[in-house]
Amino acid sequence: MRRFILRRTIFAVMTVIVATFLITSMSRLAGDPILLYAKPGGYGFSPEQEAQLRKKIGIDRAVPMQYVIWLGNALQGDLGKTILDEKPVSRIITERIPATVQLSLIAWFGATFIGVALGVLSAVKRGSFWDYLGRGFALFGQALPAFWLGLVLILIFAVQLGWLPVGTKGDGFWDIKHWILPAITLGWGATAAYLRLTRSSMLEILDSEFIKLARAKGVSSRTVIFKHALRNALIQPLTASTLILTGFLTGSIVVEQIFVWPGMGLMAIDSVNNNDFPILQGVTLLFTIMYVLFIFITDLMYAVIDPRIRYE
Amino acid sequence: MAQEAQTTTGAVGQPQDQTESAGSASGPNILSRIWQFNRRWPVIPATILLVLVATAIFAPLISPTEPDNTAQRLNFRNHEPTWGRVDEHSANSEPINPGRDAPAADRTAYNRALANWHPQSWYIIGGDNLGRDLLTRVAFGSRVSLRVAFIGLLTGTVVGTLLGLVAGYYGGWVDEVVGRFVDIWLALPFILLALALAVIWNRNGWDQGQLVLILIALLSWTGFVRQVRADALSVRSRDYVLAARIAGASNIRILWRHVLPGTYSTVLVVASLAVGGLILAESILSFLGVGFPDPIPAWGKSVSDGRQFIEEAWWITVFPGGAIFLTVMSFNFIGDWLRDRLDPRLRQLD
Repeated sequence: MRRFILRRTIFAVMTVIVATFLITSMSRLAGDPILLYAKPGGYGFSPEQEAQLRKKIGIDRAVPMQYVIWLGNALQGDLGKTILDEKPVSRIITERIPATVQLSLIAWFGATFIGVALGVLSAVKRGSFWDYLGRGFALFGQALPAFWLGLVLILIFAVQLGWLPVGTKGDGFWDIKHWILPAITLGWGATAAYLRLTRSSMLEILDSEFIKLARAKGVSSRTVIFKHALRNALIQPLTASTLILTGFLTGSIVVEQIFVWPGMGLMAIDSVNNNDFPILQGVTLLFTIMYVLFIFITDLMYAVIDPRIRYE
Repeated sequence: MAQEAQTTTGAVGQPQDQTESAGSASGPNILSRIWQFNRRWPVIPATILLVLVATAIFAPLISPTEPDNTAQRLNFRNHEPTWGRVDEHSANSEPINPGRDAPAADRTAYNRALANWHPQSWYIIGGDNLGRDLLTRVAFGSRVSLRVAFIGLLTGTVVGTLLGLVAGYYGGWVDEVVGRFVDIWLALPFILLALALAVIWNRNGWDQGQLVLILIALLSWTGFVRQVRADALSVRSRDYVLAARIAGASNIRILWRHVLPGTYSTVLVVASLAVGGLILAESILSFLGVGFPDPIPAWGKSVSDGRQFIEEAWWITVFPGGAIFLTVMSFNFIGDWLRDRLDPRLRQLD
């Protein structure tokens, strides 16, 4: 177990370093950040001033050196300042986190409950109308492009029916009208994934010997399904749920773009367009750390939930 | 109850297929009939894919005009779908070109008439935000999607299979390195990197279309590695591989002649399951503006074009997106079907 944790930690550190270094060097290849202020050699912009400015926004050294300095500061919690308006990156990111977390959590809870429930229903009533509805939904869910679904939902519920507002976040957590469409868009694919996983593992378990034994002993159908089968069938969807949450990181970029939802995904796209690389570095750092963390939790959950799995 | 009946037949230990048919016989609904039939003979998805391929091949014949035809048609931007009927613009007869040497007044009149006229075959499913015929763009878009899928699959299959083979066959530190490399690769925030790369491409004036193909190729290979590795791992200790080694065959020869053929069905299944994802990835990139540059009619880009006009021109968004959806769904379905047929190891209960 200790070796496993050690290996995972090395992997995590390496991943974070590779990702942030890649994004730093790429954003530097994409253009000199000083152009956000003035063109070097332009009117009234002396080389001394340029050197001063470069020093001030921290781009006066070679890129690898800058990266090392940035990494050192980041380890101490200082992510630098944005180039555009010189605000601390950590503050800008923390301002944006709640919106993304809110959307992801809602989508995640919704997808888990609906997906697992439909999956169980579909497996238990195998061959029935519900089963085919569930299977059809799983098939559709995987193939529907999220950006298209979002636009079609806007078209139906905002444009045609005029029931729901679009493009604003609303205030507070309970402002359902504002988050329902983005949440559906984000959670749709995840719901389909849960459904598929739950259904197939439920079918596998319902077919196993101990379920047959329980039935043969005369245990009621309800107890067999919910107590014996479901508990075991939940292992797969539960462990997959961390992976689904990481999928939301990427998904949020698309969904926030469509619904103009003021979260981290929208900020990331803006920062790429502005070539405001400190923000991009910060977001990449955060996304990668979250990904690595979720993967780690997934592996731990396997071991905790299923005692047959042991990491030496 | 249907489910009760199934568990008893299952308990007797009958094969899967019979259990299925017993289930559908006890619940005689039309949905299940259609589903079962398609599971066995995927007619609907196969038809959709055939239509898609035919559209891609015969796109210039099928489409009423050229995909980037905007000349004189800005009057018709966001043109409503005519559904093939004659509308106010196509009701007039085609204006006759008076020729270069005609008086200016005639030519002005001609240009005015032309701006108010379009053939009946245009705008059957509407025009886009630049007055281009949407049907044409969707038809030509199938070429883009298929090309992306093809190139992605080609590179993905070659690179992924190679890495998987080597990792599984040699094992040890090679396996470890390949495995960790895949892990790190999967952890990279792909969309952010793609957006940053797009800016670099833009700045240097490089071809954005090549960038898309590169990005798709970068995405495509990881899925193959794990499955092929598992196959190579199981094949390498088989007797015939040992026999080949005793006979003095080199590692390369063993890999090429004995291990690789053992992975063909796996590669085919993984590839068929990956196509849909690749097409979807391309459309997401196009939607975010990292896609093919403008005159090229990619479906994802049409959807994003229509985004601003969703209130007045829903068709720009709905039809290309629907094409993506149908295509990806059909590929996924066929992939599932191939998996069930070829690789029982990967099979899920259905």
